Amino acid sequence: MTTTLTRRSLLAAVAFTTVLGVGLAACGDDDDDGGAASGGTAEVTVTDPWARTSPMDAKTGAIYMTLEASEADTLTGASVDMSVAMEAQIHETKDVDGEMKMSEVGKIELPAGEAVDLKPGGYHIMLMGLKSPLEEGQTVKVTLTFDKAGEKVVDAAVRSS
Amino acid sequence: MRRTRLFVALATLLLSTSALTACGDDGHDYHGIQRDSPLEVVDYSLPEVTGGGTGGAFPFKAAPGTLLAVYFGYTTCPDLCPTTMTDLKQAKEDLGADGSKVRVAMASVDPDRDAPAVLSNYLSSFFPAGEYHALRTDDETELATVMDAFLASATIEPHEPGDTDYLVSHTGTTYVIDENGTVVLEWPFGVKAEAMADDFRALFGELLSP
Repeated sequence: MTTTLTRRSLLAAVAFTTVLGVGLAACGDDDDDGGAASGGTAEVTVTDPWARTSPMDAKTGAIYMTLEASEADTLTGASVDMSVAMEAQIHETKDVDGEMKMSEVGKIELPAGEAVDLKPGGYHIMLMGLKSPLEEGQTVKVTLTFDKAGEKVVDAAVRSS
Repeated sequence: MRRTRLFVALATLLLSTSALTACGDDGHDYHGIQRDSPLEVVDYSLPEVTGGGTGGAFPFKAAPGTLLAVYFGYTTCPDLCPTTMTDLKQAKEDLGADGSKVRVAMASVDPDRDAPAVLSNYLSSFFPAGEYHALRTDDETELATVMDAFLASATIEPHEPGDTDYLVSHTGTTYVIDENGTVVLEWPFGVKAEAMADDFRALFGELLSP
């Protein structure tokens, strides 16, 4: 119980800091087109980010996308605004002994030049503690943190599939 | 006990793979699995809580003139369950007027968090009234017995009492049942809506009189 709470508050703190961080960065470097925090050439292309519409009463959601890194990189974190959900975690669903088992993996390795799918039944960003249902037509701002490419903010379109 | 179940699952998977190869002969190539010896689940039932009540026993067989798709899931499941429910919803819509011949039953593998009304509301956000069945029991043994009959299983992540943030591993299969309670087709997780609709059309032709 304590562990969960601590981890949750830590994550919430990180998410909050992330939001602050983005805000700060936006003030400082007008000329920079949001590129790598490290100043290197590492770039991650994010294709078709989307979030599934959530059924009424549902407290959880999932965000999917395809990631392709120009050089080997790692997705180390994801966050959404606290007005959307309490917490975002990087998860993977895997078939373990005939049961589909979901677990928090914390990071996703991105080999250079290889598209990695976050898709139903595989990697996904799990939203916990949704504040309100995700409805078709909305977008959810997701801040992705990469080891080398730094932070990237994408708009995930909400749709049913 | 668990190892035995795993072994049975593996054995049946091997069997069903050969069944899959065999089903090319009769015209339709099913996207799901048809076992040589289909599972028979007519003798099993779970309490129906559609609408939030504590209804009577719901036997695992389709109403006359319909097919029943059965899924074991839970409402706080972020990935698999809504994916499958969305595919089933889309498949029903793809079938047009015949879509109402497909009924969906979801049995909760997480009754602690899935109160009757929660489960029923969840299904109502995917399917029209009268076309879904919310199934739920507090009796672990009753649920396990039913899941065994489907060769399905679920494991709730260990958590402290009162902690509501936990995950549940579960079989991702959707089972299609006819009015005799025979499992005529099994879709592993990942079969898309179009493929489901395609298989439903073939099953209508095979099993339901026009």
